[in-house]
Amino acid sequence: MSITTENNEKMITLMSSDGEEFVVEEAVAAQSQTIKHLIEDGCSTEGSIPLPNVTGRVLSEVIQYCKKHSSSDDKEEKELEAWDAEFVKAADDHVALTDLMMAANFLDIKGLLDLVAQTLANMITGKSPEEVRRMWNIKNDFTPEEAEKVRKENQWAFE
Amino acid sequence: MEEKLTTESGNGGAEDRITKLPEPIIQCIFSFLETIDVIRSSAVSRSWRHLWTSIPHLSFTQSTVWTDSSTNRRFKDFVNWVLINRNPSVCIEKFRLTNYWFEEEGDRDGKNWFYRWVSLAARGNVKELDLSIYPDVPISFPYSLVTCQSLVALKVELWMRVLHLPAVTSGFPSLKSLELKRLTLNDENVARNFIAGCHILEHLSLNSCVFQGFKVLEIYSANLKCLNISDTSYLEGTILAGGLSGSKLEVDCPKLVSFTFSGPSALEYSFKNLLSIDKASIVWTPAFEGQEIYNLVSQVLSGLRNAKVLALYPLFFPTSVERLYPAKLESLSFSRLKVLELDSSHINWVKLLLKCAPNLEVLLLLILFPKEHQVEDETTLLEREDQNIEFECLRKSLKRIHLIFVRGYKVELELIRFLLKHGLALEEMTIIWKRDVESKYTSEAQEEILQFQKASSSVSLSFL
Repeated sequence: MSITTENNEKMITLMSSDGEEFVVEEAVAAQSQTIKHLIEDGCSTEGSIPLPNVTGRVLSEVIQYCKKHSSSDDKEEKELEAWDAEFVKAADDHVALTDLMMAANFLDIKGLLDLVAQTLANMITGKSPEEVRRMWNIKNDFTPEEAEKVRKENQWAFE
Repeated sequence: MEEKLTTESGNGGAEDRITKLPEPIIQCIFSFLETIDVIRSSAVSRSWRHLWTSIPHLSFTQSTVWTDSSTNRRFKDFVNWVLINRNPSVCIEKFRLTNYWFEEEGDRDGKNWFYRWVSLAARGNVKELDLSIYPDVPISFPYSLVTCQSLVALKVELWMRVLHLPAVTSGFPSLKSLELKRLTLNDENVARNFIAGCHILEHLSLNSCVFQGFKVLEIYSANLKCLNISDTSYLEGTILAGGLSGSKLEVDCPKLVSFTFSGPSALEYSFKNLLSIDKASIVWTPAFEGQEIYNLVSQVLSGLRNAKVLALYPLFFPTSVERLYPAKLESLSFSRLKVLELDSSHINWVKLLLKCAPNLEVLLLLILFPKEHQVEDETTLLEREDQNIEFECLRKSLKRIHLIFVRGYKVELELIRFLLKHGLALEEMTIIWKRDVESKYTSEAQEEILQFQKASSSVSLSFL
């Protein structure tokens, strides 16, 4: 039941840090507050908008998200939620998720930032520090004495 | 021993990206965690050790941490410890207290701590407060909260216990969103003044509340944009709240944009000044008969005549009113109405609304209460009126019609025939069959529909 948008939509070219170009509708790109402001400031009248912090691989994922979320005004919230769940599942490991998170932060896309943050948070929930370290390859940089001290300080969390 | 595990870790040698994320990003991730998990993370890595003290989100859920009531004491100690040890200069963005219960037999301690935590949150410049508690006594808000300058959103759930709203005509100076859920209000005057006194309130949700002794629930609000009154308790099989089944509902909100009502019908409705209304959804379980329903529908429809999107269902009528044609309402004009969602069990009402909505573009008909045979006259009434009644929207604006849960009954086919015959502007008609209907019936019906006369040459019919 989607309403087809008129085809005279203005197009914008985005360029990733590794030189890949993406041509998207302005309404899609403007999901990013950062890009929206750049457009408003007239940075897009000629050529493309360079995004020095985002690689082409990540940018293509971000654009996927923005496309879905800009064309879905009349869609069921549930359907969108299901789509979001699939989207983060596809990102699969935490490295891909942190890349997405950094991009969402730089591009200022609140919905995507929250989605990825929630996904990463769900991964920590209920896990012990050891399990979190193992999951994300975090080095234990506490000395045994320090480790003991942290546990004592925050005994509530470890009972 | 665990150090070895982590340094040699198996995870394909993928580098540790998480702890190198900038602090605001980590904070953003941690803001989705229960506070206990945030604190536990301080033992993961040096860089996270003190992070928890400056996380602006606090979330305490009693049941996930300490599951039996004998550990109630320790839960309180934990909350206190966090509130004392966190960095007080970091404002509290969100404070959430869930499943907190007071112990049996007048647990004064539980109540006192509750008030203390809420006051501390207010003093910590809390913006969003989310409380779901099982008190054994009526609850009121501490004064420091009522006057709190920072509070923007407040959500309270009390498992049907009484909430004494503050008897003030001006409180919560910054509150924009208020949600009251599963609790009892018992003073209609205090409620009216309180709601009207939250001067910048934009969202109000009253979910499964008991309005004890209310003759009328009055919602007068100068800036309210979104109002939701629902009683889903009958669906959840929990305690029956009864909604507004014993009261009148009065709404006077000139800036209201969205209005949702679901649950048992109120006794009477008075909607005033709903000039900005865009979206209205009324899902009813009326407990009335005959003429009374007719009156209620009239009150609701005339109040919502400025809506752009209107959903009305289930409008089921006892047989006694089936044949009532709501002629009195013919003078109503829904001139802004673009999208109409309706239960189509009662054809006369469908026709009435089509007639009153000259600019309608999309019509969604849900067949919730199917009738195999039309009540006497109704089909013939359709035919009789075909010739001389003008349906402006069918001729000019109605582009899309979706019929949902069609079974292929004669009465449904008659309605489809009627819509196709007059739908000059029609571009698309979708018929979604009820899943459990045998395909031989639906394919027969489909054949028949394809033979119908169509006013619009470009209409595309799809069957799903």
